[in-house]
Amino acid sequence: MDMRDTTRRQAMTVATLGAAAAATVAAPAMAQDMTAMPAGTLPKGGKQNPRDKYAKPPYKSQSQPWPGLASRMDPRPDHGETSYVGSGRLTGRKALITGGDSGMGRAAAIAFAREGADVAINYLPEEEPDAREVIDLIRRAGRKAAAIPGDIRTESFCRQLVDRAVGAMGGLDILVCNAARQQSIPSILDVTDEEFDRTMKTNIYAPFWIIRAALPHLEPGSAIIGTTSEQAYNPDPDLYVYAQTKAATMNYLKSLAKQLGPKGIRVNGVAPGPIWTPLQVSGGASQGKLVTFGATTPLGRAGQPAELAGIFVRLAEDDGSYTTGNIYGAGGGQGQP
Amino acid sequence: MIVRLLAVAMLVTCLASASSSAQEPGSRQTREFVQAAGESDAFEMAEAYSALAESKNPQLLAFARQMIRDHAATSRALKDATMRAGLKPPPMGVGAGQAPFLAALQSQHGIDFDRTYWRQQVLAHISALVVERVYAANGDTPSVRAAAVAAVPLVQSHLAMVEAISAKGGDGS
Repeated sequence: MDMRDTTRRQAMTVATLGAAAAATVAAPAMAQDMTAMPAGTLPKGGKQNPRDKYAKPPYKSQSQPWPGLASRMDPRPDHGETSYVGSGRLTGRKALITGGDSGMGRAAAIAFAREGADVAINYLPEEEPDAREVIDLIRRAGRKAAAIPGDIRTESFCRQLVDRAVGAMGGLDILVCNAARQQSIPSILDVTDEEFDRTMKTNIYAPFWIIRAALPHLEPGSAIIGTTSEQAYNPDPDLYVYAQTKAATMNYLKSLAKQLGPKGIRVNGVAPGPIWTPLQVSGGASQGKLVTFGATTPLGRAGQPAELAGIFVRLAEDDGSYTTGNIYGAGGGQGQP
Repeated sequence: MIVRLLAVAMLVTCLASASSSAQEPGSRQTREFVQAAGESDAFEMAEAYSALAESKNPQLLAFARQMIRDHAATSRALKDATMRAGLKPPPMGVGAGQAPFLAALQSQHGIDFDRTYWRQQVLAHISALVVERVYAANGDTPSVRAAAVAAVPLVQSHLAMVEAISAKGGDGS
């Protein structure tokens, strides 16, 4: 297996990157590069070829039980741990991020903290190892961190979550509804009621419950951000359940933007393309999709969570004060918006 | 399929008479060929990597391994040819035209994955063969043309293999 993976990788890199640069890149070295070397090696404001910035397909075939851990992915996703540099764009703000232990939620948590915000993250108890790292990163940024594990599939927990976040930070003015369930199931005949319900509860009910509970705490100038997807606009056939929740997310964000604009609260969405997160290796993508993840995009690779951090910051910060009811994308050149 | 085949043939023929741009070396015909052939190699390898991770069919797995081997070789040969001719190397990514095929394959599982793979492989190799043949016949850059001439029988043999398998129902038994 390992032999084959190495051969495959080398074959592809020779063909894909050109022999000289890539033949030496074995999997472990690439994994180290991912955490040690990404965007931050350049001074802020520099430029890199986006095609070459991160590992390209083929990726190693890998599988974890739901919900998966970023720390066990190969290569490890880049959430901006070593690269994100803040400049006070969210000074004194107080953010709650669901699914803040890994993926785009983690990238947002790291960025928010380095921009000066206190950050509470919610995650599933199984995700504690990833969450510990995020809590540590937030504290090392000199900000307050709150870890609030729990499953958001009940209204009572969602209410508790908001209360505990408000209690821990002394308020709330940025809410990121990011946590989601995604499973690749090619046939509707294989979609159980339980799976359908679990996805709806996590992706649709929970943001409803959380936003409803949070609203009394949100003063004018607050921001709500939802994670939608390219799947909202161009659904894959195997993501029938997930994709419709992302379409609903895109829609509820626009509805709430109209409803809450008069209260001075902005509501926006982020639409990722194929991003390298634990959700994909824990049933969200088939192995066939995973190994060539992002090869369908004009940029030729999967995106990394760190590449969306700035979007979350933009939608949360006061400088973005005229942006509401909008969806910002990072799709590698494919999909909408 | 015939429409697609004709379209590719007409496109490539049209390009033969086009003049070269001031920006990039090589005629438009050659630049278009290098792009199409390079993207085709990348597509074949990407589909094969997905197949190795997804399929359990021994015949399909063997074919996918051969695709990675052969298209890595044609890709290298094309790159060498462009270097000798002082041209830009081929782009190494799946093209916009074939990305939807890969996306469709990525969403399949089990026997449906296998069937989709074989079906796409027939189409992809028909397209690739047209592209290689036209340039092999009247390409204007000798080193690149030699690469195309060498690729034609290889692509032809791939096409014969996938057509034979598809004729048996694509179950690979």
